[in-house]
Amino acid sequence: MYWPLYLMIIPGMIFFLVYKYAPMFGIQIAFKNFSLKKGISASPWLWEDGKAWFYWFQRFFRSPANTQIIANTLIISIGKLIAQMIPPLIFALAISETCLKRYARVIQTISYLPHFLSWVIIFGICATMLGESSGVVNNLIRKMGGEAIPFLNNKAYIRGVLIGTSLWQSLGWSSIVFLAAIAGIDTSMYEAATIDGCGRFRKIWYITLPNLGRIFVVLLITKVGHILDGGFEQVYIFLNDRVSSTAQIIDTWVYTQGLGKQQYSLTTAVGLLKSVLSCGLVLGTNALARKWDSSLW
Amino acid sequence: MVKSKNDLLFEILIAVIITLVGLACLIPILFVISYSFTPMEEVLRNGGFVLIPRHVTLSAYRFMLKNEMLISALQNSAFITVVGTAINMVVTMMLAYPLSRTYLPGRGLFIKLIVFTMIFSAGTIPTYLVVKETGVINSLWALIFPSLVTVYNFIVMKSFFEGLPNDLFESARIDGAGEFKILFRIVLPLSLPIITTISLYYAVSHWNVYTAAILYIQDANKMPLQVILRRMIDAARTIDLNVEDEMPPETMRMAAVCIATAPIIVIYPFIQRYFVQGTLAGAVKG
Amino acid sequence: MKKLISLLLTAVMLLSLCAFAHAEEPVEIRIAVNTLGNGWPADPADDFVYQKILKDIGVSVKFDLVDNFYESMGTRMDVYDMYRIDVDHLISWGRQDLLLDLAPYKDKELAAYFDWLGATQLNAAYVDGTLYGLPQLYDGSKSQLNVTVRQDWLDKLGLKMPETVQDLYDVAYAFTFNDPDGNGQQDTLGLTAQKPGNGGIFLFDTIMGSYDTALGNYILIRDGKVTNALLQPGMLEGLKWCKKFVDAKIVDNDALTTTGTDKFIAGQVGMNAVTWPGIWKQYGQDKIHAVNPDAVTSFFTTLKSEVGAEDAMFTGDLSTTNIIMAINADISEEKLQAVFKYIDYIISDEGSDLIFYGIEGDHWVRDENGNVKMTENATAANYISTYQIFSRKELEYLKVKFPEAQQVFEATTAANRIEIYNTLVLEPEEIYLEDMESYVRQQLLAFIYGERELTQEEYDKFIGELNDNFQFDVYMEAAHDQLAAYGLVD
Repeated sequence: MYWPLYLMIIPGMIFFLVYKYAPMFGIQIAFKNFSLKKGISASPWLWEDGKAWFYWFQRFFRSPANTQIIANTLIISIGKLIAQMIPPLIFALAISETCLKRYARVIQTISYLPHFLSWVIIFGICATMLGESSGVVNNLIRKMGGEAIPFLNNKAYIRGVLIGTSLWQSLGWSSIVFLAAIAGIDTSMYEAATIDGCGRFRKIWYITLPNLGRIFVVLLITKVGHILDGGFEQVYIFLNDRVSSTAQIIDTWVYTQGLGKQQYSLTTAVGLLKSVLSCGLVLGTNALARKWDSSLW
Repeated sequence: MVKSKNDLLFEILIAVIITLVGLACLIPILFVISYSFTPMEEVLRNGGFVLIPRHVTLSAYRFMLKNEMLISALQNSAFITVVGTAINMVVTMMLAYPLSRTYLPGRGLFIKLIVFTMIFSAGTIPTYLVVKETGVINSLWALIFPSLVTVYNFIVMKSFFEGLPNDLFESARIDGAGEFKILFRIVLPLSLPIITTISLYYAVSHWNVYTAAILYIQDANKMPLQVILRRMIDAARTIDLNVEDEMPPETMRMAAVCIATAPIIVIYPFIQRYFVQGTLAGAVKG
Repeated sequence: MKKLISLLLTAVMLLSLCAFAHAEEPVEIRIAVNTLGNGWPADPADDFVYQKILKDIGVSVKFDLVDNFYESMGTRMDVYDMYRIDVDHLISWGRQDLLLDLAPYKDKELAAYFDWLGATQLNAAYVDGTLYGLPQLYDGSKSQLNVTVRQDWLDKLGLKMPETVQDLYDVAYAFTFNDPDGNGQQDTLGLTAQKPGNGGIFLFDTIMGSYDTALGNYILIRDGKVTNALLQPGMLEGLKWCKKFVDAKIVDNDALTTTGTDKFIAGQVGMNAVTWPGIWKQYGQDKIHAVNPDAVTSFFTTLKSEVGAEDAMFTGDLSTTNIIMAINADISEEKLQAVFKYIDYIISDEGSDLIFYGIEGDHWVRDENGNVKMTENATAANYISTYQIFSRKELEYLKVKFPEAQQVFEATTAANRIEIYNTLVLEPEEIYLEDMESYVRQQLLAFIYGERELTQEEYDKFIGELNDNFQFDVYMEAAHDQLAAYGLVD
């Protein structure tokens, strides 16, 4: 009796098996001395070259920089996670609640535009706006008699800049999914609430927000799965020597050590490590979410 | 609509919020657009910050549009965006709908299998080898098949389907509708907001594809738009390596953003109407 | 009419005969590069250099742009016959046996090429004793760094071109606080810099140069011994000067994150440490004059040494041959011979004229003295620099192409440079070189920006940290051993 449902999922599952699971045989290079010439299977295992099986993991953990970069990754990621969850939700609520419908539509269209700017461009804009010696903001500050603030090359500010720009870039775009969820709420619920004499805030509090709960938790879990990533492309572009002690993250570190020099084994090993940890985090978050009856599975 | 003083204050508050967000997004975008049209001297004279240019130049656009690769790149991108998104949507919906039915045996296992791939990824080279084995390398299909379903989009869609009222399905089933009929006749019309959203997400990711293209495509005439735009910028950017080049790379970069984003800005208002509240309620009553 | 038809028929027959004569397919070689010249023709039919090479030596030379080069190359090494790579990857790929050992050809097919290279440093082409690379010609002219100064500002304030660090400070100070642009506002700065793409911190390299050192882990040879910029006796004094500049707020701190050249062109900063093309080519000068019609630029290359050494300046890795050509280990004999043919062709007089300047009579002509002169049509040949895989006789070339900047590139070529030897040193496996270098730059900047106290004691502590946490001493020992093996020191 379920066969039509199973039939439906066949194409999707084949995709996951072929393009996602089949390549996972490549994870073995985390335990190999990978050589491009020999290929994945023929490259020698680490112990065949007289090294410990955990050589690449050790390489990561013995780096003098590792505690710093792990801390940086977590701080930046958690900051971004909050910035990409709460403000878009508030913005989506504001858009759906306002009585200026036409205006809201225009604003909404504008708000997702930053999503289309690459980080190179955003960095360029930041340099123009926030630069220390001739940035627009600092020119204003100086005109008002203040001291220029080195937003982009001071280790105290850089994390804020990373989180802030990521908020700016994703605000409108992330709010789309909340708006879609709001649009999906059964309006008869609101009508019933109005009849019961509920005010606006109570409707938001008792109808809109609970209905967004499921999507919110789901997004949260997927984001938690990426908490050890931190946003390579952005950080790599914003990184400079004056801020690297607070802005270097795991992925940018691996890049300078590994991919830049094609150390695929090290890259894979660190990736595997991150995946195992993320897996634990996702399982944990999901178990927590289950208490509110909105888990992923 | 506005009834009490409280309500009025609230209206003002949210108007202020959305206005601030709008300005924060508009000014930098305006900056990008103006920059692409402003002659370099004027940009420099203004310390790199121009919102409304006094003189307008089209030189960056002329330079980019005369590149013969741009037309084929636009065609390629249009193809993968339209065809790719269509296939994405069909497969994702057919995956999300059954797995949103809590009574389906084995559901948890399938979802776990899918979510697992979001956390564990195999890395560049093994994925490349599989793409090569499946015979799509150096063709536009290499940009469609290996990204058939995005886990995030799948999850969002699944959780939306889970939120649909159960009695809808019950009554349909009593009427003798098969699962395929339920999906395409009942679920689909009710899910327009989420379908639009996910289509938009897929379409934009196809339109912006870069990394997959440079890994899986070798021929220049099969490259999508972003790769070709980036190549033009890079050719101008390497000024200290290459003493020959004379096109301001910043202006070109800004123009490239405008060229790449314009189609999406034009299309968006047409899809925006699907975000309007009330789609579902109407359906239940009707 | 009949005549016409028969004429056409004859023509067709002749053409097909020609085609038949050339029926032998030309050998195709594919070369992977990370950048193509501006205006690169998409269709080889429009590429006159390609056509001429095909006609002259019967080899079809195809350059392929590989985006995100090193990341993408991992998946397509086998597609190409030849790669344009840096020394790091020569080592990494050489050790994986991905590259062809060139020793058997050195005195045969490649003899003419090595002869042409002359005194170019060959050491970097070897990996663990095997010859894997074909280096570029190095005639000492790659170091393009100079400090470009607003001469009209100097004149207006009655100042001289800086010769010592103290002069540089005074000029930068006056440029900041004495209103050099005369607009009544304090909106100018003394010194900025181009952001270097290859190591170094141009903003301070001028100052550090007069203390015979540079800001980073740079291996030097002094008095026949291997040493490091970090261990140079002038280091502390140099850092103190840098700090003084920063504290006086006369340098553009943004030059650490973004390039300052635009600010110089816009007349916001009076001095700019920069490679010459950005400012001294006609195009750059036009930009400057479009903003400030009265602007006059001049330049200096080095400041007077404060420690009794030669006046010199560090210029990043510009002075070493970091880019190198390598050949696929699995190349077929036929293609290999075609590669050799191409190499011989582009080092010949005819071939080098073609890949430097374009087609004679079209893009360039010879004047009565036999010198090459570019024609109006020369910009159509801008893209051909891609063909110059072994670089070029730089000075000769630049004089022809950019006569307007001649005095600058001649001076930068003649200037003393702080030579570094990092590319010849392979770090021992247990050392985290990238981490160490990143930490070094971080801490040096912390000293300069007052985040760390600048005293001899604290600096010694910093070197101690390098030894304890990063095994700096082990690294320097390795450097000594390896450079000694090259015969550069005893």
